[in-house]
Amino acid sequence: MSHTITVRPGGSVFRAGPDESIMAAAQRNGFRWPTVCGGKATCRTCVFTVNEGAEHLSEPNKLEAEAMRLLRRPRTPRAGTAAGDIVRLACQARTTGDLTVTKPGVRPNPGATT
Amino acid sequence: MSTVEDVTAGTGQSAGEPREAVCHSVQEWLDLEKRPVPPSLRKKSWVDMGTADLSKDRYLTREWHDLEVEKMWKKVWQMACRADDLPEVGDTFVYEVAHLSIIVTRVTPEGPDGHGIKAYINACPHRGTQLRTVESGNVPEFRCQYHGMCWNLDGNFESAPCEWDMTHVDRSQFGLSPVLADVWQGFVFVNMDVQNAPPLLEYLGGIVEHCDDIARPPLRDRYKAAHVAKVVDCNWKLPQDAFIEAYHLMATHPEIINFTCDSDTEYDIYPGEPHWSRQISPVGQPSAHAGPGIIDQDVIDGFLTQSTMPAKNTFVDTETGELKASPDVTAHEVLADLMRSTFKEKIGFDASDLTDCEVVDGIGYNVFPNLQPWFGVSVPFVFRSRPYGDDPHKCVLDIMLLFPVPDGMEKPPSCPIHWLEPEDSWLEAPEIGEPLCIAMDQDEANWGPMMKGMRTATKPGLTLVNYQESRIRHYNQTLDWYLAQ
Repeated sequence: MSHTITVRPGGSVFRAGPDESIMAAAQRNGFRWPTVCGGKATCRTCVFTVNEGAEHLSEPNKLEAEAMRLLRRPRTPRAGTAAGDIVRLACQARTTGDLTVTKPGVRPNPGATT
Repeated sequence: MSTVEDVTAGTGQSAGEPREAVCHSVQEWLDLEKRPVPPSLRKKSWVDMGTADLSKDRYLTREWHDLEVEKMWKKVWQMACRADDLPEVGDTFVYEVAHLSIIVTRVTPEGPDGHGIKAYINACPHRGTQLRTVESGNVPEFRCQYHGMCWNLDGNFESAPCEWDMTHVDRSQFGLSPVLADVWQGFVFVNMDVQNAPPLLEYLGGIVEHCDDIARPPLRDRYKAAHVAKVVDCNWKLPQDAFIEAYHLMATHPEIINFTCDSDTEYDIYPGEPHWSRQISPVGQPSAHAGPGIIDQDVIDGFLTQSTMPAKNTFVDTETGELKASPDVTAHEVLADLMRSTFKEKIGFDASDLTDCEVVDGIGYNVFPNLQPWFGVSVPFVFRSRPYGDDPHKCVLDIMLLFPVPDGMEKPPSCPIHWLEPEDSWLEAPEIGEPLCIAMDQDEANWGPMMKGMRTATKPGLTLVNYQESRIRHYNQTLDWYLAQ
């Protein structure tokens, strides 16, 4: 069972399985996704913002949780908090449902067929 | 020191009547043991270190704190964590003392080639940012959060953004600054004095043999079943002072003196051993201050209801009234047999070779500057206190419990640290046992008033009692030696 990932603002759309990271799914589908460490969760350059579908995302592991704390100061959740406040690492996060996310720079690799 | 004759003389007891509790010195109890006594338990020793007052500045002033940091904390071996806290390659632990921060990390699995653990100064060689800002975690590499420069677990420089801009930097010299790391009995020790520190075992000295002799099962084979930490409003030396003397039991912990003997506690200081000392407190005999007329049943019932002994509070479910004193057997023996049978029944640990002393008494050691591992299997405390930041009026206090691994089981994972809030009662940490929580609250209730009292006092020094507080004098003399270097 795979799910549809829609990436703003470039409009890339691809499918991700439940056992692969968002970034791995993007790469498998021929999209580039920014990264420096290559998926080790240390550089944080793969970070994306969740617009819709946050409830489908996997629980952050410890290293991703560290990155999230560095990128957003933890605060008490309030009613009406915009989903856009949620940032995740694409090299770690997995999804069990459709997502709409914001990540500039995600687009088809040159020469890739999508 | 009392003897059997002292205690029973004049009581007019006859067979069948409740017997007044038997009181002995530690060495007299050892004379009565039915099992072979580890030789180190027999090593009673003391050194006269003088009677001068102890300056109170050492507990109060920023100047003294700064000297301690430069001359002592940066020079000594100190316990950072347990090796079991770092089971996987890439596991990291940040050890902090005063304003100093050290990364401890597992680089390779433990094996015949060594313990596989390294330590580094927690600062980016680029512009100094801490490389790790959370206490524990697992990392594939050390990448700085500021500019993204990266080092591997071995501490070697790996990469940086725009390396064309670093042609003036010798990559081979751009590694993380090393800190010495070694392991003794499962404790990871670090030392920042890379050039001059003696090897860890040389630093530890004779305690190594004592531990091999007395700690059964060895501390390295036990697992950390509980670990509670808290920032406390006092100098780091005040909790330590409380954990290395039993003189305060009567006034501070009045519930436990029916069955824990402050007044017959043995304090051992060894010539030529500046980095450790010991005390042994008999459990299963009352304090001399418990008043006349304490009988064995009082000792047993007091133990069952109010003992801080971790093994008792974890494993023993005997209720008061179920364990009867006998005219033929001392309370000390009754409690030792209770603990032996409990260990066997609950975790399959065979303590049949262990002396009564080893299974009931408090056998506390102190490793300079700030670690108190207790060796007995029933009282397996590990206490540690250290400066919190650069405020000499605050410290971090840790309590760990090291339990034997239940027979036939894999070693359980090392317990993560349960951090209490500064305002919390220790009762928020029931995993160490409620009576110990209460005792910790009682101890902590002394430290604030001590800090306030010392600051107000016009008397410049603290007057120690000579024998029972000798371990405080001992480590302070070692501290003075370091500060004078």
